[in-house]
Amino acid sequence: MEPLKEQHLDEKRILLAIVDQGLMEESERIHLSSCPHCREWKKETELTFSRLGEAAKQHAPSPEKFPELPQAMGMRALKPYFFRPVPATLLTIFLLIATWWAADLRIPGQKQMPTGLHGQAFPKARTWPKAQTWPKAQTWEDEQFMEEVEIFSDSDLPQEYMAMIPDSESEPVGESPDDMTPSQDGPPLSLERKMEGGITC
Amino acid sequence: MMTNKALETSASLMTGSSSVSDWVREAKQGSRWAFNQLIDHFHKDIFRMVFYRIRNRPDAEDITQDVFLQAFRNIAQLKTVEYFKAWLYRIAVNRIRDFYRKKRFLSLIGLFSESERFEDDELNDIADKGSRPLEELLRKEFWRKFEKALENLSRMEKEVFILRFLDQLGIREISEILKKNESTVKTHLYRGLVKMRKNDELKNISMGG
Repeated sequence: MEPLKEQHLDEKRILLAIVDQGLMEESERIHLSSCPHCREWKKETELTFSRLGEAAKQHAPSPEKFPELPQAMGMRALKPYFFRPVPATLLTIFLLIATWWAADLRIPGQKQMPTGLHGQAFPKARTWPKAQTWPKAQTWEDEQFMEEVEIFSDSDLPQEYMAMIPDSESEPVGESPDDMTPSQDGPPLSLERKMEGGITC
Repeated sequence: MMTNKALETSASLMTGSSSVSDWVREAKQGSRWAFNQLIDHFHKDIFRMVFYRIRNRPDAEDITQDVFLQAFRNIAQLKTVEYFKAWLYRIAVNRIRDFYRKKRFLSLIGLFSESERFEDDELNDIADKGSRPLEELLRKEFWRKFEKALENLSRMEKEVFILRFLDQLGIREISEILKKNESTVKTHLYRGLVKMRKNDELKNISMGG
């Protein structure tokens, strides 16, 4: 049987030794302290990981900014604070309230309260005086529009062309609703006529 | 019970030196000068630590600034002076998590695309100003290989591995930073090392290939 010294530690035991030698069994610890081969292996493995750390240090850039403490930053620290969301939201709410309040005020120079459709005073001064004249203006616009439509439909052709057309042709011939209504010359159609000879009620 | 000697050794392990402990004590009492000394002492380490995880210089600089600002505001709450370094790294780890959370949210609403970041930021923002194109190329190549070497590791294994071998922190410091017990940290580290040994990329990187 080979002596214990010749049974070298495997890679997992070496890794365990790197983490903490206290986790190893007593016999393994004794072997590690006495075996140059295992010690060398452990040292090599440990170096591989340490070199990784050194390489990382070499490949990391160096910082360009030195950390500053609040007082040293002075007013610069306050500027970004102003634009942070909470103050910005509060400012927006304040502006909205201020705008609403300003709109609620009576228009300067207007002494009389505007009146509504039925001559009653509006309960609030915020109602604009234009609202009072709106229905009239609307009616006038409608009438004017209808007049224009009538003029346009009566003279849909220029005057010289209208003169060339005979009177009989000037009226549309065909199945217009006017043709179907009885003329004034003919006997009037009435309920009485239909009921001739009958009992009139 | 730990003896005074053991406590002192532990303190120097966690903070690096006794002068750091003095600066922390003074900074806790409101000394700006002492805190500036701490910044001077740790800012490169913190910047590198952030850079290893973000690979973007401007973002790493911003996060480093945030880490020290947060530390400055809360240093009075630090109970054990000796744990300052671990506390600082813990702030950095949290800021990095916030950064990735924010990035994930932005990519979720379509304002940030992962491929854009890789193409634009990683290739351009690693480089030092005035560095030569060949150096930049080697740098890019190194981080690409590094990423590949770590791709089989879980998130926690990767974190523990980087803290141990890139940030060169001890097991106790890592357990303080990650708020995990030491045996959990050792387990993650061991699993990470086993996976890394199986990866051929590791040898290439370590040999400078």
